[in-house]
Amino acid sequence: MITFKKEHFIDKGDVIKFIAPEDDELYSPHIRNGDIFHVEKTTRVTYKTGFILSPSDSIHLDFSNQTQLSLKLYPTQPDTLYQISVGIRGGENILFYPIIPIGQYIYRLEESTMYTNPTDPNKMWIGAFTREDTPSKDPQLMLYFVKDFEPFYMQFVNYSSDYDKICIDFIINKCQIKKISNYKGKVIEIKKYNMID
Amino acid sequence: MSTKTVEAIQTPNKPLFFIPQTKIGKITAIEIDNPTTESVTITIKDIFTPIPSLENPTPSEVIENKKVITVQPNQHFSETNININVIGSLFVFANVDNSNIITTITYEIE
Repeated sequence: MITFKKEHFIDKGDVIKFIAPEDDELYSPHIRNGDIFHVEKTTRVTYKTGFILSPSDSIHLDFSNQTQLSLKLYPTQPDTLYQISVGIRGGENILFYPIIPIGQYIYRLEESTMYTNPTDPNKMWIGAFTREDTPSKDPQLMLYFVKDFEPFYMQFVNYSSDYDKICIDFIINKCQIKKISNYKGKVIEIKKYNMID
Repeated sequence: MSTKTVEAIQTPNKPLFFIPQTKIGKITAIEIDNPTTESVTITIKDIFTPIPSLENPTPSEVIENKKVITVQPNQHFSETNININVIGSLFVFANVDNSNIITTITYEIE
């Protein structure tokens, strides 16, 4: 449900397959591991947000719909997939870290001492991303959300001694999807977060 | 690129310009014309409120001095090709009230 490489927007007529680890029956509460869907229709919606972060401060942005303060970028219908492109402007001194589930940094290393720690000057760069990794003019970060998927967070950390402002540009590709069976053709795979390559 | 001018005033009650939440601003040039017989000190301030966080759930308004310039009597100050970030509301304060002293700021918003 997160990729950090240039990807095309899903289009009408595409076929998508949701994939979770072998021992996981479900991709989400409404989608089983391996379910295949035909994309019936797509609509793109743009959305922007921005905020000023104090020096040496951090926040967690919740992308789900679970609280009043959440970004509410999850679909509410079971036959909708949101494919979201994320581009960054500003935030010269801000690092950001994808997190799912809460408290678990997605991008981490195997050695036990090499873990992400935004408060440690040596470890803050493990699994960290900057605006250069997904600039607004050429976004590389793509997120995929379905109804009731586990909440996804992004932690933003201002590691400098100055106030800094970061702006986030979203393009939300709303895909209406319909489950199909006995399909043997080409599919676009959407992997669950614990299958990051 | 936009340009705004303002007369010297000690207590401005509104910003010269403000940067929307989803934009970043940048001052690219400053000019101050002082045709009077007294020197003037112009202070350019960026005023904003950071986002609430766990460490600081109720942040106060922040006033940052971006540039302080003193211009002598009958002098014209000019600085171009500068890059001063602005993230909130831009105010121009002077140490005197004088409608003959004009500050001109050129800025970009992206």
